[in-house]
Amino acid sequence: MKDVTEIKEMLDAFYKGDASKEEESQLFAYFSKDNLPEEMQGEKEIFQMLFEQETFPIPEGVESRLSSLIDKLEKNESKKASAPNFNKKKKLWFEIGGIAASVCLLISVGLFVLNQSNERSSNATEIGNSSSKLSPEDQKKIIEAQKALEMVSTNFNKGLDGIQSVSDNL
Amino acid sequence: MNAETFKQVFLPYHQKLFRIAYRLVGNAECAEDMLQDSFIKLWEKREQLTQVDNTEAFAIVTLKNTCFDYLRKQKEDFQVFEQDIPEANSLPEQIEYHDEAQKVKQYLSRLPQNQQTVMKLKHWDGLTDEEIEQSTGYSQGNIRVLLSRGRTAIREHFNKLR
Repeated sequence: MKDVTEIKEMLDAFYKGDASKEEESQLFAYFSKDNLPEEMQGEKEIFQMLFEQETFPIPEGVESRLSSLIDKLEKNESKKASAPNFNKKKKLWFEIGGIAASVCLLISVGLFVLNQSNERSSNATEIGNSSSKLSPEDQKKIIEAQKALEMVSTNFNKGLDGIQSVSDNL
Repeated sequence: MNAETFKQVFLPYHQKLFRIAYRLVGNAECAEDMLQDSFIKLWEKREQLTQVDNTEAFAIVTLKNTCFDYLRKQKEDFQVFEQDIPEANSLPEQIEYHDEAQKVKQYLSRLPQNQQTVMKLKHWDGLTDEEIEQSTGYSQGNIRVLLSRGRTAIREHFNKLR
């Protein structure tokens, strides 16, 4: 059995928070004995009070509720994995919508450009009575508008083909 | 990792985790919520857990972060919620007190919150210093200081009473 001096040194370390696990075990063992020297009785009482545990039962059912929770999480994941893939179909419709919107935009732009050119050429004709010829600049604009319309027409047809093939795939 | 394997690994820790949560948040219902939220997080990370050496430590740290997030949201300073320390009538009915434990508990409740938490985790829940570090985020040096202050305060208090 450890002598009082050694126990006091270990107690000092304990109260400084520096006692090792081994030293704490030795203190436990020492203070569990009866017939300790008078000077150590007070230390024994305090030491045992520090470790007098509050009996703390875990509420009933905690483990089973945790277990059910995990089972539920696994089940939910399996359901998601096997459900029909509605998101893919949604994506396709978004793509179709996007193509249609682009085509409409191109047509609008083309028509606008053509309209602008026509307005200018008709204004030029009204103002310039002596000349029914279009200026080179206006002719150039008309050609550009025609090209734009041709491009719109080509893309529109491509878009229609695209929509058709997507529709076939659904 | 399927549910069965996951449960085999983590369910054995539930008692220790519950006690830690209880010490941190102060009531049993909330502690169970923290435990469930932590298990959900662990489940979502389960594929990464195969690379973790110490699953118990990982679970404790996850629980600690869950509790701290909760406490932060409650806008309460973790160290200053003395009113949330469970009084005897809020604990499960089966709790029994010995006289000495009651005296220490009463005195302990007057110490700063961080000292109380560390003292309870160490002395009442039997956690190692490493586990207390994982549970609270305090360094081991800090834990030693807190234990020293708490123990010394109790010793001096009870020596005066004699």
